[in-house]
Amino acid sequence: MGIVVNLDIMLAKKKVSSKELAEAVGITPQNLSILKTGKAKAIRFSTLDAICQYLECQPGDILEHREKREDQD
Amino acid sequence: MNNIVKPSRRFALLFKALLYLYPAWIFIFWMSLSLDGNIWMSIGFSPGYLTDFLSEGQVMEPELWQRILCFVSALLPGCAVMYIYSALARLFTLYSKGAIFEQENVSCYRAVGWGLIWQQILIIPYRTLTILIMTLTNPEGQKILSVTIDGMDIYLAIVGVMILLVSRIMDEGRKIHEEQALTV
Repeated sequence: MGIVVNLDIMLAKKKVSSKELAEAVGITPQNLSILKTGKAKAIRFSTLDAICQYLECQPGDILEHREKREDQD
Repeated sequence: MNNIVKPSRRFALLFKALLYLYPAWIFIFWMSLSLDGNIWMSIGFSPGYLTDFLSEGQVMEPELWQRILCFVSALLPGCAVMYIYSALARLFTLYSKGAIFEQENVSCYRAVGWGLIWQQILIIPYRTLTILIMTLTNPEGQKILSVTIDGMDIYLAIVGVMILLVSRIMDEGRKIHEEQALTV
C-alpha cells in the first residue's frame, strides 16, 4: 500500500470542489487529479502547505501510511 | 521548443524518404553496374572493395541473374540500414511532437544502436557473397571466395555501442522526467 492520499475525504468534509482547491493552491486540476488518484510520486512541501492552509487541516489528515500486505507484493 | 520541433519535422521527412530511396538506389546500382565505367564509381559513390575487384579485371561483365542475386545479398546489410532509417524517422517524429524524454525515444536510440551493430556484422557475408556471385561465371580456378573486414566496420560498430550507451542515459533522463511530471 505505502502512502495513501485521503484528499477526496477532506474535500467532501470541507465541501470544497477539486477545481476550487486547484485554483487556490496554484496547481492544475490535472495535477490535483494525479494526487487524488494516488499516481503522484512526490508532493512538494509548498503544495502540501497550501492544501493544508486552504482546507484548514494537518498533513496527517490528507496523507496516511499503510503497511504493505504480504499478498500485495 | 521551436528550435527542436521545426527541424525535427524536416529530418523525419528526410529519413522517411531515405527509407524508400535506399533500396531503390541499391537496385539501380546493381542493375547499372558496368565494367566499362559506372556513374556511381565515377562520382566515388561505390563500395571500395568492389571498385578494386572491377579495376583489377577479376570479374566479367555481370549477367542479369548475378545482378539480381547481388541486389538480394545487398539487402542483408540493407535491411539493417532501413531499420536505422525507420528508427530515426520515428525519433524525429517524436521530437516534432515535443516528446523528448519518453520511452519511445529511448527505444528509437536502442534501435539505431543495434541497427548499426548488425549492419557491420551483416556487411561481411554481403561482401563475400557479392564477390563470389560476380566471379561465378569466371573460368575454373578463378572463382573468388573472400572475407573482408574493413576498419570502418569496427569503427561504426563502436559507434553503435556508444549509441546504446547514450540510450541508457536517455532512459535515466526519462525516469527523471517521469518523476518530475508526477511531482505535485
